[in-house]
Amino acid sequence: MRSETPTPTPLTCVDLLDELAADPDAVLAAPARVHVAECLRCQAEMANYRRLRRSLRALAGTPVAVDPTLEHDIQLVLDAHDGRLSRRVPGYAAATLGGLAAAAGVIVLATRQRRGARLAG
Amino acid sequence: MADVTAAPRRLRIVTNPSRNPDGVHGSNLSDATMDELVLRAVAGEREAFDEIVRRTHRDAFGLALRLTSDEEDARDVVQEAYLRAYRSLDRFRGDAQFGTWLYRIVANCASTATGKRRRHRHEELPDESTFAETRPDHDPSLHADVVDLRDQLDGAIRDLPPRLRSVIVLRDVYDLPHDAIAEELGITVSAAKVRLHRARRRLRERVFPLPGEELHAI
Repeated sequence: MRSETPTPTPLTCVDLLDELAADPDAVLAAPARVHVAECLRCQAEMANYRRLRRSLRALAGTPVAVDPTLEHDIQLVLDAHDGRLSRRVPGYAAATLGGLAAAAGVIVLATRQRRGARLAG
Repeated sequence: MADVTAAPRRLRIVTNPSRNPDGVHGSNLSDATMDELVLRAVAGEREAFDEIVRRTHRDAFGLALRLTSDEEDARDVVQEAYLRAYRSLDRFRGDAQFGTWLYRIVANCASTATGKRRRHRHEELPDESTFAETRPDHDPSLHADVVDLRDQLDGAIRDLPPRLRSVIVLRDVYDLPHDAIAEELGITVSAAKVRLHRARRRLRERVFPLPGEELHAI
């Protein structure tokens, strides 16, 4: 009696769905390779998964708009954890203080110049 | 000659005595490398951790935003993540990059936050104005294609269910290993892989549909 080796059932596109999604760059097993070599749909699917993977990886480098107060808020949370009062000056307060300091400087300079002019006269 | 400070694996740091004559402490924070900052923060220097926050919070927010699809939730997640990182700095072993370690904490916080949100309120429509355009390109049409593809992908990611979204963002965008993703999301590695395949298939069908799939992808 002759024993026959069973011929493997040829793969279909559905059989490869997970495999292509798992790793489109992986070296496929022989039956899968045979199917993909003859199947335009699976070739397109594989190419699209590769493109998807590249596009997703590129997203990581895409800058995201960040509210400028976020960093300050994070540091407030850390301050609260450390149990200390915030040592940070909010942006608007810093701008006000800077403005006041500049105005004071201008007044001092103007006063000195006027005094110098009076003495020279 | 430079002083080589022994530290575990990636945290081998070469300090420059001319810039930092008193040793690690006291050098200019803005000139310090991330490894130096991490070592100083681990040693208890709060200003070093503040500098780490300054350098990394944009990336951390980007990840949180992609995981939660909600700007307010992302803010909360990032604040919680930095607090957790700050509290557990002494457990940072230095066998991974600090950025990867932080990403894992952000992923964990986001997973908790999206779980809470699912329990307490309905999904809201995604905000459309979250991603800034800053990358210059010489070819306007090519540039438009790239931006269009990126917007399509971002939209498709936002529309995924949170359990699929988190896995694909962590694996395919931020390159975290399967075991780290599984651990932070509280699922098995095989569950993470199954979710990943499903997420990839949905994105592929939506962004790169094959002939005949267009109607289903919408």
